[in-house]
Amino acid sequence: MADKIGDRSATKTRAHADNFWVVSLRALRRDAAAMIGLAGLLLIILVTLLSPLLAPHDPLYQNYRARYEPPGGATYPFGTDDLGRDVLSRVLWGGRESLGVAALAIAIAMGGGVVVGLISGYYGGWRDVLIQRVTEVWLAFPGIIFLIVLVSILGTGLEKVMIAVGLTLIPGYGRLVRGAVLAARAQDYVLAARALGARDARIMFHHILPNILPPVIVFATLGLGSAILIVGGLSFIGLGVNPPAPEWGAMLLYARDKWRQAPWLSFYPGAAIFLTVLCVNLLGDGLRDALDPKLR
Amino acid sequence: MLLFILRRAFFAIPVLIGVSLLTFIMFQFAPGDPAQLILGNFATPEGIAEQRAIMGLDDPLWLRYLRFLAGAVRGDLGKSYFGRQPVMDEILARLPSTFELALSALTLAVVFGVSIGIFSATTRSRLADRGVMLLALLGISLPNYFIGIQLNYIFGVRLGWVSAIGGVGDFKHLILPATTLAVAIGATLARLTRSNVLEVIHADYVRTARAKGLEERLVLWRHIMRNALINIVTVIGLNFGVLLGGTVFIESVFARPGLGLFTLSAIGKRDYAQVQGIVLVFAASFVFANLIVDLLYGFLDPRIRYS
Amino acid sequence: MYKKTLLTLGILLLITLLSLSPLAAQEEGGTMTFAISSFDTLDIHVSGDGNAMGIAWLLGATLVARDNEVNYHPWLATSWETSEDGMLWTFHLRDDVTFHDGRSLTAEDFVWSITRLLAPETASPQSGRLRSISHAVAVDDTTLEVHMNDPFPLLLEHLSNTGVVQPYHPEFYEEAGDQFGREFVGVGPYVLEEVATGESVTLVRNPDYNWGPPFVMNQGPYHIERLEFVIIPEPSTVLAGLETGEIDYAAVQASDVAYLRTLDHLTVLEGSFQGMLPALHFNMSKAPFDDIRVRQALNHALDRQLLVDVILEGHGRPQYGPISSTIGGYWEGVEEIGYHYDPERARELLAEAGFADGLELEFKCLTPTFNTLCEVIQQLFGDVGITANIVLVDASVVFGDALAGNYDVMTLGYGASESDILYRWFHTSRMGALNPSRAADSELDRILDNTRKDIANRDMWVNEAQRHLVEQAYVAPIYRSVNFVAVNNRVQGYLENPANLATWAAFFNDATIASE
Repeated sequence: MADKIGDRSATKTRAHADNFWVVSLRALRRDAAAMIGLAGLLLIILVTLLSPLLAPHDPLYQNYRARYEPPGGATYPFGTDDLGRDVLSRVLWGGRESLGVAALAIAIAMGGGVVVGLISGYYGGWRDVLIQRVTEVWLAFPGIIFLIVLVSILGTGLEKVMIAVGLTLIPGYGRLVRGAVLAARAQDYVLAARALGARDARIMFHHILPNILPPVIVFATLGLGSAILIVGGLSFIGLGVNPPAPEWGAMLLYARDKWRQAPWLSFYPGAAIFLTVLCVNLLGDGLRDALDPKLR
Repeated sequence: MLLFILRRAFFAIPVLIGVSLLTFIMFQFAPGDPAQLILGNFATPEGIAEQRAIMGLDDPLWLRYLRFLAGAVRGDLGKSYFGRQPVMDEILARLPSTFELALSALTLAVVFGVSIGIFSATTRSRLADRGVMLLALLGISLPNYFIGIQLNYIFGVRLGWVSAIGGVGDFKHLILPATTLAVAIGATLARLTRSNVLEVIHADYVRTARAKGLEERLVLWRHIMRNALINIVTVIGLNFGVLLGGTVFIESVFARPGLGLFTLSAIGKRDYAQVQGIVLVFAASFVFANLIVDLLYGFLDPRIRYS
Repeated sequence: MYKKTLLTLGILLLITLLSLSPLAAQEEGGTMTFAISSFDTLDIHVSGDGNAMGIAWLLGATLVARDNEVNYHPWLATSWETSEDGMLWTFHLRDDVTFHDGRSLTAEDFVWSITRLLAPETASPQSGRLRSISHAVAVDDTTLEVHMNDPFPLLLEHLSNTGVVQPYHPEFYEEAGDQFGREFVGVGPYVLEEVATGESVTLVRNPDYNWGPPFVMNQGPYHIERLEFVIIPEPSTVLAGLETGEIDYAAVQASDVAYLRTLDHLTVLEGSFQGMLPALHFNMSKAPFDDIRVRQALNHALDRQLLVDVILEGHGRPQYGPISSTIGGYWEGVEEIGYHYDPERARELLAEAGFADGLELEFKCLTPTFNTLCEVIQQLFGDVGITANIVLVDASVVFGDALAGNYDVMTLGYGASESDILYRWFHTSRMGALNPSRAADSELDRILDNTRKDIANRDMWVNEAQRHLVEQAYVAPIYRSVNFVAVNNRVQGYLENPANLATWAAFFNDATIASE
């Protein structure tokens, strides 16, 4: 009985949230810049997913007779690198690594942040104090430094970079979620659900979470941009992927001292990072404007 | 006010202890045996055992942490594995250069970021607003290591306006790295200032002020800026870590002998005595910076002091 | 070999021409700027940095000096003798040598320095190679006795090929305390002016220096007034500095050589690396690498000439044996019996060993040095059906992994200027300390023991060791690499051997620098 009524109130809150999304998306559609960002990002993701079909060459195949081919040729439109590998194919495949790692890192940070933030905000008390103290210590380590050290201890490799980036970002999400939960805790639908005896976990994940998700999503979208830059940066200082995997930051690293002979080696991966982050930021800006009721 | 400062400073102490504990624990997982690293490739197993004993590596973990903490409190971060130099001295020697870079970049970012933001919010030209904001968006979308290499090539090698080999010294050595580091934070500030100013412009008290017939420029400065300032301080506080982290890339590209470059070389060599010290100092200065931001808050907005 | 001789001849010719021109020969003063990638301390007993050791050598001098043809000459010692059993060396020192603070050098200073170098508390990474020294005794001010633990035929090599065994100033050491290493007083041709931490090291000429080794023309004070070593870890920045003339001297990468040679104001010198680096090591304590056919197959899969062409841009040459052709004791037979590129044979051998369908292995690769090399090798292995998964490891964990046997195939190697490295690297007794291929080979041990015991037939035993090592294929040497150094043409009259940057000391005696 209690559960049923709880369910109904959950449906209602979810309807409320759904409505919120619909309105927001409608607002987003009117925002030309955000739509360009969205379209660009979708295109980049699509191209990345289809890279096995689109890439004209094996990104790993070294053709020693075609080293340092300048771009513009029919066989190698983006030229070749120091080992005669096709730069176009490497940039296409590289997106899988760069985007994938950044996205998964954000997912880890978001998942971790949501759990930590919900517990901290919902229960309060000693759990909150403990989590907040740990968060403070965690945040006291400047991001990149912490990351570099973490990766150097864990060892290089994409999974490790992913975990390290995710771990360093958790506290930011945790704080955001906690703040939103504190605000939501006093709201009618939560009080109602609690009065009806719904279990804590159910209230947290069923009632509160859908309502606090919008700011988290915005934060995550904007965070994706910086995560791509960070993953690239780690590869750039030699703490990223293991060769020969093509990854944009790692490609920049290897192109770094070949700038004079082969400027295209840094241009294409650099442009790929830049365009992706630009699209993400355009979309993120639009999402923030659309989802932030204060600005609407 | 003094009480407020003291209370805040007091709260930083448990954080600092937590920081030292986390740092210490983190490095217990670092690969490689310090004794083996120190003695190098020609070491014998007996030599390594001997060295472990000298370094107290076989002592229990808590004892080693207490020893580390006791040293750190006295400003003794041990000696580097390679070269056996006091880590604290090595850090102190490089600190001014990094602070110089970070502070110059911060100044550039605040000056340009805020003025661009205000300009963008108050200009009547929609095109100019859009153009400037697009530039700001480019600024936060470009990797700073990429910007750095390009700037160094163009201004250092091609045009020869500044030293191509970086280093420290006069203004000529500082301008490119500081600019590169300032781009992202300046762009963030420009975007934030713009939206803050826009928000405040439509607020009641500004409308009242304007209705009272105050001169437009005065309205802007007196009311809008004071409110926007709090947000700027927040951004600086939040970005202090980005700033310090950014020095790693910038100092590496421009060969500036600061803490960032030191971090990379220490990690490259796996000199964990150095890395551990650097992390601790970075974290401590970060805590310190946040303390200052906190105090600035209290200064700018008296309400915060009592909450 | 001939390339280097040619280079030396060319430089000698240049020096002769220069000495005929009164203008260049008289030029004194000027500042020469070097780019170095790293620096730690001038206390070379505990330094782990080749550049620091090179700079420290300019501040000091060693008992004996070695020329490019590996002959030993008097330097701080005017003469020396060794006892019949090789357990005692006696050095007679010059009596006119002074430290930078004016105090005279005595044999006591050497005793103090050697004692500190070998003390366990010092934990010197350099002490390993001098383990054979038991202790030193000063008989009088100019007579130094070095007592050995075992007869060590290559003592002079180790006394001369780095500046590690240079005299420290004991009183100055005590006085400097923690600052020692950032402050230094020695007996060398240059005096330390300043160590700007993380930034640069500046030296000025020692006007009193008058004890150069006999094989250089100028035994007196050097000509160049000031040497500045700027720390620049980033190769592209070094390149920029060479281009603009802000840097006079720097080690450069093979991929930049072609470009640098197009610049009129620079000369690019090349010198051979000595030793065996890079080489693949196979883990003998792990199947299937204990199977000689697998090791031989991996050897045959390497197209060494291709690797030279791609990685070294055609400089350098394939290497088949465990020591390079530039080292005394090199045996030419390895060219004949070495494993030449033969993918067919590699596949056959793999099939015989039971891997007709391919073999998957973990390929540990020293980063960042060998990243590109490993990528090419990965493809070469792929061509014969071997899937090599690259794992990057950096210099500090490489040895830990190797000694613990925590690898399948790994890039490793050594720099060495003499053949005793074979004993130190491959002897079974060295397992746990070195011997990274973890071969326990009693026949090899017998041969290596004889290289140290049977001094009369040493050459024969060293040849035998090379033959045995190639046959057993514990390692796959790859190429004899080439080091490049770019020098601004305003520096003239230097004798340069880029194979060993630490030889700055002996090769800048006669150099001059044109004013800007």
